[in-house]
Amino acid sequence: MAGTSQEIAPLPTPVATIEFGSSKYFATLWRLTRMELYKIRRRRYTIITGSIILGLLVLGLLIFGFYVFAQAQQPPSAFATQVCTSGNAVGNFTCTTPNYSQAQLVLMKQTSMQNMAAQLGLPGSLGLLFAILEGTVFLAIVLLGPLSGTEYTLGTVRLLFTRGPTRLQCVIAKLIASLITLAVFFILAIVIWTGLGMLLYALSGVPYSYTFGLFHAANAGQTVNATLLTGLIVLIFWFAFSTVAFFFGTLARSTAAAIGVAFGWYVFEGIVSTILALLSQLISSGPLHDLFQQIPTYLLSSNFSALIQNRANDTGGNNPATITDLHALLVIGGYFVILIGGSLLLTRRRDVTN
Amino acid sequence: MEQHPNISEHEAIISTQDLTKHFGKLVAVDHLNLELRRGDVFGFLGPNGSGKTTTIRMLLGLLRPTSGTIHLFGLDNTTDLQKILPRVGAIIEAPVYYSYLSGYDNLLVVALNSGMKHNLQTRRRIDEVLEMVNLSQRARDRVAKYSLGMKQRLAIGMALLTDPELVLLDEPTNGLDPMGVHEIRQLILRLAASGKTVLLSSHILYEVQQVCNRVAILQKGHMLKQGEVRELLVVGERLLVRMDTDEQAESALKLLYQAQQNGASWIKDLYSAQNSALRLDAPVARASEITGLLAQEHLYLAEIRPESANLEEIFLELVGPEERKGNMAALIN
Repeated sequence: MAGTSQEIAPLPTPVATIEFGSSKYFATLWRLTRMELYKIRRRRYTIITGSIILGLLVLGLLIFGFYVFAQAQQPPSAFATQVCTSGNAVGNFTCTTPNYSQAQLVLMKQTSMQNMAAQLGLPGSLGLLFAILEGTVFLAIVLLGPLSGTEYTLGTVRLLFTRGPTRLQCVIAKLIASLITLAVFFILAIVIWTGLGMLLYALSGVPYSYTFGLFHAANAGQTVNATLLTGLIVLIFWFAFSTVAFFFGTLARSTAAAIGVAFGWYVFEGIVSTILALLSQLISSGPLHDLFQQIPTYLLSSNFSALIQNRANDTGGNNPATITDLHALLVIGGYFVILIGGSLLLTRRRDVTN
Repeated sequence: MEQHPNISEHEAIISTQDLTKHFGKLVAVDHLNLELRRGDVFGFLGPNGSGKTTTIRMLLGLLRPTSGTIHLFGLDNTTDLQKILPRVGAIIEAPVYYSYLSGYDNLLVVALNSGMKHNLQTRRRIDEVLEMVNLSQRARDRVAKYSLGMKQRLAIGMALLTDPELVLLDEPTNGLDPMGVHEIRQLILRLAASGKTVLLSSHILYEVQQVCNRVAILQKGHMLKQGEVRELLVVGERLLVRMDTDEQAESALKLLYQAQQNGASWIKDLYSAQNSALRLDAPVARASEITGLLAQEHLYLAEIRPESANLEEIFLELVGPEERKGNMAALIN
């Protein structure tokens, strides 16, 4: 060795055995997934964001629970329903409160309290939870948006891609970890919401049925299926938007792009749907009317909402959506193919200069 | 160290043939033919933008070559990258880490990524590496709180975690204080003593001369020189001649230049130097001839001594501006 005059001791031979796991494809994929899950749960950003979201859910439920308690303290007369009749002009109504008997008022209060309490106990509480999660799907972007872009921002992408696994395995592992994280979050939300809901139910004064009234219901099985299926659809809805963020984070190699563009996509879909709905009312027929009605049926949010609405219809609730389940599944599948396929293709072929 | 059956002792651990990389119109690496043998501590030298980091990135599969081939351990890195990478540890440019994780967690992530099992043995190995790079005391602190030197040591720990056969170090002493630089140098020497093959890309030529046995010098993507350090230093044999005055030094320079033109081909090159001195690339054994040549013209030197060229001089001659290459036509005219 040029210039070395002293005796240099070699590095110590490793005392600890360096044990490698299986190098088979799926074993590697599973190990990478566990690594990604480890990073996610050790990251303060994810823990804090997830905790804030759960905290807001809990706060919302507490507020509703105490409202129900406050309503339970009201006298039966506060629950008297008004009867409204229309007048001569359009929009002209006259509402009066008939003279109900005490028994009728008590019944009205009971019915009203049962309806409110149903949102606190199973299965109604889950329906409410899933409706809230459906409406706040943008939080998925906040929660998991940085998953891909951060690797490029920090430069750790070159750490990921130079240790042995293929680039595709790294990407797939991140997506699987993302889905598992969302599932864990949903399970936590369900457990906390259900437990808290049952405690708050006691404030309603309505007797609690530990069979949740289901076994007496004509469509008990259908209700359970629809509720669980709705939850699954909302979970995949959240996963879809986290995948949108993942794709743009990969494309732009940036966390800011991941969150910004995905959030913009979410807002844009809402705005486009509203504008097109208005336009299709203004132009009541013709090809433009048809076009304005058709475009929203290819938006991501519209198709998920349709699936959820159709599940509610299954249990005799809302009217069915104008989008069929088959159409929705095909469109959603197409989006996943583009987003996940695009992420894989971009990652596989690109030069990593970060 | 156990030797992989693909590679015998004298075969190349790294071999590139006509390796080329274009970024649009920019030619970052141009027909590079590189060879590292087992056990080499190979210095990879070149000014900024010469293609060193681009080459290292191509070796690791981060960049796709525009043309040419790369073989590591006898395997083609376009088709067998997954077999190659577990045997390589690397630091590329600035150290990278997950700043929100601790040093220990960063090493665990690298371990899992590298295919190590998540078990007691891996945790022991991580503790061992932390001890090796002197980070045991701060292992559980978040890396965001580490100093630059600590981050650099962590990066080295990550590179050595799987006890790789080949270690690629791209500017490992960037931003370190002299103590840190010394530690890295000692570590590289220990790596070499352990039988590992090291590719060291660095600007600190003195350090490269201290630790490397072979070097390659790049400029603008081209290989200017590749070979054993000791051979390059011998090629750079030089004499320093000092006169009494600057005028005498200038006269001596002209005289020796004319001698070179008239057949003294053993004078390879001439440079003026400070303090009434000049340097000749010439064998030390010719010192008496030079003294005689000058004396014939009544130029009596104050001092003549051998001056071994160091790597820095060789490097600057190869990649520096024209006047540093001793262009006598420009000086004489």
